[in-house]
Amino acid sequence: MSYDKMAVCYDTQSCIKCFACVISCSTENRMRLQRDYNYTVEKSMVEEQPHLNYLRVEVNEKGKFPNVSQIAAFKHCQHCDNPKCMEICPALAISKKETGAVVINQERCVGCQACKDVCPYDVPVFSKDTGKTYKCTMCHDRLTAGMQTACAVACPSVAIFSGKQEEVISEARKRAEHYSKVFNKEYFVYGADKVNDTVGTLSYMTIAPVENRDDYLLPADPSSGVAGGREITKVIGTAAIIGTAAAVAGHAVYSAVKLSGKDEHKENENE
Amino acid sequence: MKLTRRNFMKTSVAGLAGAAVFTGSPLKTEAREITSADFGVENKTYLTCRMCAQNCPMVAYTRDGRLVRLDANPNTPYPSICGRGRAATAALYDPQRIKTPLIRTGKRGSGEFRSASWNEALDLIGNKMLQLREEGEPHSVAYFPRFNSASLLDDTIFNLYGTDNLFSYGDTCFGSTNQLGLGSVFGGGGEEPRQGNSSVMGDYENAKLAVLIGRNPVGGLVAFPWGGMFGRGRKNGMKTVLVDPKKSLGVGETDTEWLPVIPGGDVAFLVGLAGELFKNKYYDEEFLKEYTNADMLINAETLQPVYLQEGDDENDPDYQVYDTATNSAVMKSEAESPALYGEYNVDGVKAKTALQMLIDSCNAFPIEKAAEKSGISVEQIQKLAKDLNDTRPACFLERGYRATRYYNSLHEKQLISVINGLLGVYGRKGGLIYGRYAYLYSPFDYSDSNEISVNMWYKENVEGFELCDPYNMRRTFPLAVETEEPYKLRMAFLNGQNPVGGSVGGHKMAKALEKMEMVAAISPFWNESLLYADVILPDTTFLERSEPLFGQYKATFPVITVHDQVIDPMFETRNGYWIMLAIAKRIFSDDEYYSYFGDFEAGGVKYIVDYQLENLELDEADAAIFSRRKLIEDGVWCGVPAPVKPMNKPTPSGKLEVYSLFMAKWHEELLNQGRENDAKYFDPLFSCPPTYYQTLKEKLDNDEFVPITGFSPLSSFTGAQTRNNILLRNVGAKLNYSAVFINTDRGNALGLKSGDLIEIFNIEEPSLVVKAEVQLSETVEPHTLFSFYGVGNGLYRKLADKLSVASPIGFNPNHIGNLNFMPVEASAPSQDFIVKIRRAK
Repeated sequence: MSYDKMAVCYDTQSCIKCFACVISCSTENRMRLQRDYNYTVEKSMVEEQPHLNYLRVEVNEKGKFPNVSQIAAFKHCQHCDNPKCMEICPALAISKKETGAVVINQERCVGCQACKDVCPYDVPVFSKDTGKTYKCTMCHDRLTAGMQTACAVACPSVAIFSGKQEEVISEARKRAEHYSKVFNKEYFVYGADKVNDTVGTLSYMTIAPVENRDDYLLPADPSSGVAGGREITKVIGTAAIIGTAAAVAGHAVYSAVKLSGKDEHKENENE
Repeated sequence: MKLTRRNFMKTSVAGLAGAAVFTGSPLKTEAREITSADFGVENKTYLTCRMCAQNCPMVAYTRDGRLVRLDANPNTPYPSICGRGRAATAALYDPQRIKTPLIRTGKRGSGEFRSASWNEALDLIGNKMLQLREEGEPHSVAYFPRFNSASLLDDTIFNLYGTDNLFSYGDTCFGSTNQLGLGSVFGGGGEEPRQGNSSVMGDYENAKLAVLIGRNPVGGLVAFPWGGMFGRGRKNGMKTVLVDPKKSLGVGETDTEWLPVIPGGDVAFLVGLAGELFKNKYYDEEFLKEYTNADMLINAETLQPVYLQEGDDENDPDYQVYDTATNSAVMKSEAESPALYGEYNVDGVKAKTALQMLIDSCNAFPIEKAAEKSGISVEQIQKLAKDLNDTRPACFLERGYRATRYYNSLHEKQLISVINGLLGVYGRKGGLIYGRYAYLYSPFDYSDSNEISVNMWYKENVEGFELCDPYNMRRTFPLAVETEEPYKLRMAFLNGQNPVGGSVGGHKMAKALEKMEMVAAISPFWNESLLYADVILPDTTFLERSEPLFGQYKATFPVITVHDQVIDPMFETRNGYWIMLAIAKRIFSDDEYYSYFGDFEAGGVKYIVDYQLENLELDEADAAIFSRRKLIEDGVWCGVPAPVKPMNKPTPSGKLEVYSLFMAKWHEELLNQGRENDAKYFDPLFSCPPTYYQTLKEKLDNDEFVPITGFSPLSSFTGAQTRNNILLRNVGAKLNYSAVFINTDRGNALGLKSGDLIEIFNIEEPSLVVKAEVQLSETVEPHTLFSFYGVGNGLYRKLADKLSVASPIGFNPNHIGNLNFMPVEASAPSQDFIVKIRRAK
């Protein structure tokens, strides 16, 4: 089955910072634990599991009283067109889907954190409890089932919306243009156009005033911390580890199929 | 049609086929997407969210009897559930819920309890209530309802049992201050004009400028429909100005002007703003002439109307104006061209028009003084006045919500409503629009033969309580317990209410509870007050029970919602109806029980719903489109919005009273009684009465602050449904929401840095010391010590092991505040005191 190219957009202007999106993301991920790992809902909902908040809040404050700016930015996977994490992942656990979603296959992740080191946006989070790395999947399972992302569906103030890429971009540009006019300053849609050669365009876009781009963690030239010596060691080391793990588990054939790159991510299978 | 269970099933099934052709919806419902969850594997239940008090329409999905997902009910124009609602699963499955009935073993406040059977616990309560009734003192039972799960039935049971002592939380929230603040301008019929929070609401979606003062609609978030309306307003390009001692995140981060007001300086700011509006004629003369009493002739000495003809069933009220066509004082109804301005001699009386009186009162208070007293610069006040003029009538000043903050809050609310009148924004697109409601009635009997309630006795007999709202008041409880007037209170029954954590002067509430012969409580979660209970009965959460229809929404159109049970009660919890009936069986004779509650026992919540539907009261326009089937299929029904046009209101003058005759009357009355201090707070003119804390001290010391508190959208009230919630805390920790926030420079001057532990105490109650983490921030006005409300365990450290997700420390100003009362209207000045801080030892 083929899917349309999808996108999500976050509008900083109509956001009321109620964090319903963050909670919804977190509960959706806990639901996935229930679905995929036979976790009981009673347990999944009351455990800390902070790595399941794929939208992370980072508050920054600038200036002096009373001329102070205070911004709670959301840090999340931008779903780059050129995902550096996918390139570097030694376990081939990361794939870019037709929808545009960049997804870590948790079954295959070995927790080497190479993706974390190389991510231009410092997004993936490693959990010591599970030994794996996590980040936003753009609700790939929901999108391919015809639903909105968990963050978009949660938003009471029409500040996050998801859908077909061209529709999302068109709505986003319309809003940015309107804000530029009303507030007499330039608003832009970060990620609708190519950001730079490193990341390309983004499937998770943001509408913000250009002058606040850094406050909203939207760098003009995001650079990938290209894997240096430390990372290379890690890559080689972990590649060896998965080789061993696969052999030990007797899953060599299974892995070979999965590694062909054609498979859909596990999260689709149950929808 | 009588709604039987079979019919209910039938209509539910018919829903899928019928929805497509149903065309009765008067409002543009946003395109509702059918998702996979609409079909097959997941069971869908409509209910309302009770993570705070707003009952936002919600839908729950279950699989195998377990809750798997919560969403906003999509069948409204503003489908909205905030983060708290979405985190309800963590409250439902909270392992620290109260799971069985509990009986106290240690001393009160120690938090030591043992498990008990339902019978043992219920008998203890029932026997005590029976004893009090047999002794002829059922009125000595004080009932404290709040987040309870037996609405309509519970207060009936207490009333029929023989007590009218219902202590409600309104005095710390919407109570008298907000009601009278708007009512004084808007009218309300009768001697005490009261208007609810939703009488008028900002038309956010169409507004060009919203001034948020005394309320942060995002912190104290009402997701449905305000959150949705506010967000859409921002999307449409609405500009916001925030007048608040703390800059908040949610009202706009990049294009919002923050006017950091000194705590309680709001009134000075409003007087300065009005002065600018007058000076530049930035007001709507046509609106004032047509809809307000700006042209009324006022006696400049007494501040009373020169002549007012009261209205009756046949005639509208009329009053004297100065007719410039004939140069004489005549009745408004006969005047050709009533003057808006000027001073006149009317039969030897020095008279001015109401508008002239207002203008002159502002002239006496120059803008420089307003700036000094409010902390908001002259330039900012001038700019705002101009911006309001440029955008009116598509602008408004929010009139606040949790209004009871300082002694002068009533005057503040009045002035806000007056300024909105000057700007002519009532009933205008983008201004303030009127709310409309559906009225639902209760099937239960009431007894009016009981002893006078404590609150009514205070209202009728005690100076300072004349304008209190006896139905929304709880802080008289400790007074009555201490003085044993009007009689001795012997038992307290807490049903979901937490008076110790929720009302300012909480420590005195706790002391009063300690004096009770018995304290019984019903609650799903631990809170401060439960530490003082003798018997605790474990309630269900809102997901584990059905409730009657609900219709009290803060919306511009009537809304009715259904609330069906989502999952079976967990642990040994029971829903409130079951509990209340079990108590009723123990305190009433068989005959009484079956005559009062026999029908309900047989029919359950559906008996109430049927009654509500059969007696539903709707306006004609709504009745024409009401559909019981639609309500049940969609879980919610929305009626027609109120027309957008100014309306005359039931004031003494029959007009919107920019010059409040209610205030003028009380001002005179209080002066006649020699109560000059109280009279200051009832001035019909623009003036600047002080807060309580300003009467204590002219200037705060280096280590002194005013304890401002506000909601975070991640917490609500004092309930542990949000306080002990891991999903909310994961996010709240990123905002450091359990810390207290002070201005960076002021913190530095005290040698403090972010993360330090400090001790906080009320300078009038130095023995009560609370520990908290301090965070220095440039987003705090320098006089202010800001804390998010209801987050930490505060003074009540014994709660720490019962609510281990919540911060073990943290500051709740209620715990250590004063038990004083707003002048004459007697609600709670919740943050009107001074605290000192010092580095914790």
